[in-house]
Amino acid sequence: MFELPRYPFVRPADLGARDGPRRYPVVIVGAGLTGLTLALDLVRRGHRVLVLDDDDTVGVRGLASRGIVWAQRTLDIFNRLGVGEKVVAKGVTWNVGRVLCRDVEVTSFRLQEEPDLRFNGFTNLQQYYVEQFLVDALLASGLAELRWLNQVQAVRPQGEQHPVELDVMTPEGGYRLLADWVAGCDGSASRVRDCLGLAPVVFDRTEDRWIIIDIVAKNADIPEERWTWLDCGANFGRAVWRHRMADGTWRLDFQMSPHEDAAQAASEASMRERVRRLLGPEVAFEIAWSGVWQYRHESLASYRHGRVVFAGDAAHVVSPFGARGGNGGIQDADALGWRLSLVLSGRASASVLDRYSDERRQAAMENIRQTRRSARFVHPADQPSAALWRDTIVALASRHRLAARMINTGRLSAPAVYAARGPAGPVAPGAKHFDAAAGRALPNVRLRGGPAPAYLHDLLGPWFTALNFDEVSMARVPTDGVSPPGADLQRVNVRAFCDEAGGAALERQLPAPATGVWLIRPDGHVLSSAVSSNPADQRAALEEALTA
Amino acid sequence: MSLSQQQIDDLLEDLIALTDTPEPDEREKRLSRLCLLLIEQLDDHDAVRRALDAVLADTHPAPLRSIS
Repeated sequence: MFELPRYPFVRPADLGARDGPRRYPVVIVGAGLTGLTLALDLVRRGHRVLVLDDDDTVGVRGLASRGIVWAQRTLDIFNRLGVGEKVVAKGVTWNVGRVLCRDVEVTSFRLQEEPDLRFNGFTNLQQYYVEQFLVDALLASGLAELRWLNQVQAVRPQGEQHPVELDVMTPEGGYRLLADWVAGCDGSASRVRDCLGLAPVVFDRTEDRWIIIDIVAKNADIPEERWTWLDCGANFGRAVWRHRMADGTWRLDFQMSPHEDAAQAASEASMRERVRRLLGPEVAFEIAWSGVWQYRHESLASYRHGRVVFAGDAAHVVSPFGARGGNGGIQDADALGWRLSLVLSGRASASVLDRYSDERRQAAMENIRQTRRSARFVHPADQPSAALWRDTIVALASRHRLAARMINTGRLSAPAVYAARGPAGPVAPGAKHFDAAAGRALPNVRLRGGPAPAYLHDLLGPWFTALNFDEVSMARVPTDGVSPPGADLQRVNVRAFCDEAGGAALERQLPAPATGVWLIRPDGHVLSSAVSSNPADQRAALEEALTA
Repeated sequence: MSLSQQQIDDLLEDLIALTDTPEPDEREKRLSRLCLLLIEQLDDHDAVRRALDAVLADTHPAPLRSIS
């Protein structure tokens, strides 16, 4: 059985410092998925980061839902940060999902097997492994200081022109520090948020309760597929989710009865009985982890408040249907890292962080919209109209394709699509200069097969990239320094890296015809697929992105 | 079925909204109007017949029908 690592408390030099509080360029509060991903992004861009966490391990202690499903977009982000291969190698990749009503399969889906792309389908891996890989990468970088058992107790903004003051408590006493920028990545009960007097808008909270029972099955022959029972007989007609994770561990997630006692449900005997009813009496297993959880949907109105920015669950909370929580937080970090780096380096004004807030709040609202639908389908509660349609759909699903497709146990996390923008602001679909690819994440297309495959993301520079799909003569054009100074633009002729199959894959996978020059942001989203080949025009488009 | 998953999800959302009324009579009225409009739009007697027969076959006890 896996033991969570314990990271030692190291007495910070700030404790007892006599020359006043020390000043740091960026302090990340919270060493969870989002905070660690953001820290690694900044480190990869050459910044020193300080990460504060009130715990001394990875994963989540206590009663909470934990992420296990990592989407293709997340794997692309992890790959850019250098931990993608580890996650995929340790995890379980799955493509098949089945939905059962009244214990009979009514629909299944096979995630497209995508030989065109770098990563296929979804990878399941316990959150603590992912966080451990991120911690390892940060420690190896030499640029990150991770302070465990350092609890932030107060956050005091001093206005736009001055650093933020933080009070931190440790087992050996408290200290004060100054931060030019603070990233609040400290989860759904964010202390940073509380200190600023901010309360998220709560869209709904539910009485629906679930119990996770992660088990290591010893003699079970269970396919590596995602199964969701909507009304499982073994769970007294309530829902059950079943997923495979690493180390032969299964995530079993049982919807509880409305009046079930949580403490009783979480007792060893009760959990074992629940698992036995589902898997049969012959299966031997150990319980690896358990927890009762509820969900709600909420978001801050803005993710930037002066010199404090929020990301992950501190900014927004969604129900776990569709794996949009952890994957959304990682996309937050991806969208924030390059912008914060530009601000830290003085290459862009702080207003680019407002664009981060706009984009990621839009993405969070889409996630909330999707997961509210799933949550209502799984638990119509006191909404008779939703219950009416759910009951009808369940009754018809085994015989009617449309009803089966209406079953919604979670629409899986997809890459955010940001609003396409022109010089005058957002450009709506159908408008004269609407760019169908702008705002979309660039698919990581396999350009060349064989023993040394090449992928589209391999061609992206650390900053902006102009991908030329027409030129074939010269692979890479020397990097330009552009205005604002230091924000690099790398130019690449894609066809020079492409074999015939890769060319066909580009046509299939890109959201617009693979022609002309595309300008790609540092987070791999398309800024424009209609940039002229004139370097001056490319520079102008880039500057527009930096000046928000 | 040519509808995308997003279109199907949006349809269900609208169907839930359509029947979201505390008055059972009002709900039935809305559903029966939707039925008639769909039959008119479909303009396919055999398809309508098959759907109607399938629902009647699932209905217990079987409703009395004055035409047979």
